[in-house]
Amino acid sequence: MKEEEIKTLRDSVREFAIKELPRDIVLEIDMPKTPFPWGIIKKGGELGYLSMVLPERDGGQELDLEGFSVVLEEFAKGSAGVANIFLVHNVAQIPLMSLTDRRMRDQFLTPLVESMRSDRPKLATIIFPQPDISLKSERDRYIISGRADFVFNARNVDLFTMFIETDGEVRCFAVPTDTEGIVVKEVYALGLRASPMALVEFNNVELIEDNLVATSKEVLEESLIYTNIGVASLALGVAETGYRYALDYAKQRYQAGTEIINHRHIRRMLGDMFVGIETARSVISRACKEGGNGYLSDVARISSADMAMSAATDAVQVHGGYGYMHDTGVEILMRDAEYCQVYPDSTIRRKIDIIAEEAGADKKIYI
Amino acid sequence: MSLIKALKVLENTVETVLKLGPLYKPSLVKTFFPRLDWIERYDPQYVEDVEESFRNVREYVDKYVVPNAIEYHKKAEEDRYFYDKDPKYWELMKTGGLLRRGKEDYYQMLGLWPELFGGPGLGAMATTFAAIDEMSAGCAGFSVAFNDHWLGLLPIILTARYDIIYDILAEERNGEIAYVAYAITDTTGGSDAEDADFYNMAKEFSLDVEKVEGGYVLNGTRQFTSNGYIAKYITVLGHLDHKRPDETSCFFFVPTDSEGFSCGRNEEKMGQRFYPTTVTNFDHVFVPDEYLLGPVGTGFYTGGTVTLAASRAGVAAIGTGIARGVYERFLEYARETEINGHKLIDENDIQMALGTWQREIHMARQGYMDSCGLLDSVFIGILEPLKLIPESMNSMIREVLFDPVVQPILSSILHKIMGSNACKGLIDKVWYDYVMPEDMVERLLGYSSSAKPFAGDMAVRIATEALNLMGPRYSTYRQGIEKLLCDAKLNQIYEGTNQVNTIASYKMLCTKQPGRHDTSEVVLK
Repeated sequence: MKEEEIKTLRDSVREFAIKELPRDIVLEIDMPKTPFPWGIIKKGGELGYLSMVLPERDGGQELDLEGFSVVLEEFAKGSAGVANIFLVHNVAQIPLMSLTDRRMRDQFLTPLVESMRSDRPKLATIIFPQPDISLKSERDRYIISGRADFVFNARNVDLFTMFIETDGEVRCFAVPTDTEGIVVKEVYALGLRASPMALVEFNNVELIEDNLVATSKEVLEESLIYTNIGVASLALGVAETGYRYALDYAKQRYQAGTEIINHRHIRRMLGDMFVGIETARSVISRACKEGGNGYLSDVARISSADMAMSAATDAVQVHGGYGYMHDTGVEILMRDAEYCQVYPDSTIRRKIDIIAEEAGADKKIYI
Repeated sequence: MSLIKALKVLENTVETVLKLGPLYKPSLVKTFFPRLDWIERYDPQYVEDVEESFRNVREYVDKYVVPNAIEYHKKAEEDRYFYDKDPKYWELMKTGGLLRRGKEDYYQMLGLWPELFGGPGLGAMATTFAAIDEMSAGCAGFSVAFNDHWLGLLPIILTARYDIIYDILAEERNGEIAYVAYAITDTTGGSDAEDADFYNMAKEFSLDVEKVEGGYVLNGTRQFTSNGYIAKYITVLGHLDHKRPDETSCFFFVPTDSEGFSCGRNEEKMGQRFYPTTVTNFDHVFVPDEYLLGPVGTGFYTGGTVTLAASRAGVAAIGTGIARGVYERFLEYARETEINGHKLIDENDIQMALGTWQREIHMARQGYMDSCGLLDSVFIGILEPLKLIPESMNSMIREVLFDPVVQPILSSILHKIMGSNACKGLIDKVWYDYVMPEDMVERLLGYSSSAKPFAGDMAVRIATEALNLMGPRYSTYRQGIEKLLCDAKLNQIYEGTNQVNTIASYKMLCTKQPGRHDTSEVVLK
């Protein structure tokens, strides 16, 4: 995308996020008992944020990685949890985009697109390969059993886009959530609580050939690139909010004869955040420009998530006791940043795997 | 012949010695705290205290703390005022309060009370290591719930107001939870109340104190009072003149049923939710002269500087305990988890991580132990005279002291004497001239302020790294490490932010460092 287009996009999302995600709403949707934020999703759907990566001919926005990143970053500045709802929904559509069969398209992709501007948009979520899931194929049927961890919005979506890896083969299934044998157990999550996380149990779920939407590793890699860039943008948004809150607070808070922004120590803390944010932004931007090839999308996610965690921890520290309390909304950032570090995979483990692959091992599929 | 005799004697001696068993007696506590081995040579009783106290606490932690920690973490988020409504909560508090060494079976918080009063008579090292460190490894919230009582009591102990302590002990003996909270934080400047210079430089204060006939009137607010919501008494910092806060500072003992006292909102915290953190409001609360602790002008030094110097070692122990909690849980996780056909613990990066954490936890523990040692040398000094009374007479004296008829009469007489200005002045002089001179306070403050930030930073770092290593599949409160991360963050903040603590270390230790190196010749040519 061109510079001006990006700028226009950024401004419009920012305006939307500032209007729809004021601090009191963000605090409320972070509480575990609060209902799913359908209102914001609906308004986001009307503006097309539920179909960012979809081609224009299918009714989507056809944003490239850069645009995708900008939208999520601006959402995450308000609430990383809400941004994550849009992230997983959009990523879940990527495997469906490659469908050529008219019938399957109508069955899985069309309802998502058509309901986008309705009162209750139909959502999807993505499940990456997990070790506890097993797949059996019997003639024309597939049987899935096991447990998937770390599935966002599981209770509120209509479709799982689910990658399963068996014996080096990757298959992607579109699984409607009302299929018999699926049990969703919501868990008490640490971060990103606006998009509630769940464990999903598959008790011998039967699928037919029609549910198999993709069989290539490329689709999985494409989805992972988008997820990595998305989570990196979430982390960047979180860090920026932390920095902004901390800067504002440091200008007001008076201690030892002056506002704390005049203490060199506080400036050093804020300086670390500032440099970290700008570094992460350029890494993400380069990864987007080069299409996330190689390990660039991984690098973007790893560096921004780690940066966001330390920036958010410092932001709480600048606020002192008030930062620790829910009311200021700073501790939420710390918890959200922690989840950016582990989704879609642990940053430490990912680094180990990258080097293993560099040294000649097989490319590893998460989680 | 005489040679054979000598050999026989030698053989007998060796046999007798061997029958005594090995000189070194291994125990769990010693694996955590190797220093105990040589302390045992000088004071076996002290080591026995530590071990017994540790065993008691560990039993409580395994039985009550670990199974309930996450439940209360969630419960407090749903209803931040649940504390006085939940009978199980009080049951847990009472059971924890009964952890003791003495035979007397009445409610009392973990701690230092001399045996004469029926307490365990433990040193700070025993209390801090065993109670705080071990309990925080289960749940830091439980740990603060019990030990904040000691923070509230410290200004009373440090001003030697045995009359007030006597009242509180009498109530605890009747089975009540006479909880003391500690309130020093201003609404607009949390850490200002942690350092005398910052206190003097503060822009505004949220509590006014006025001298009236026969007492003082407190008017205003205190922020972040741990346990304020469930406390029976509060010790409060105030000052008469906003222009000279330190010089006119006073510390008050305020019963929470005083007219005009009320609790504001309970804060919605990120972690450490087992105890409430409350805004306490004072609406023209009258405090009689006898509840002023120490003379006017010493309030900040005694109730602020010295109290915090003593309590920061405990907070360092909380941080160390949290880090150990993470380390222990991760160790179990790594032993159980399979990766590529072997156990995760066989991977050398995991071994490096665990080794590093263990090293850091050990170092952090040495840090707070040194402050505890300093504290013990003071407290043992105070308690020494009480030890002159034969132990057999302790129970008899207790019977008399806590007799329902004697207690109120004796208490009111003591209030008259110890609450008088002359007595307060005398105690203050004796205390700071002989028992706890300035040098001792400076070293105590310096070293405990070094221990606390180290432990807090370490706890946050270790918890973050552990969660990251466990990855997405375990980040769902299955191991409770998420909760420990939330708990750990507060350790960088309370008892003065780590930044304020670090500055205190600098002021107390670095500025006092004598110069040894001649720098006058260093001239750039």
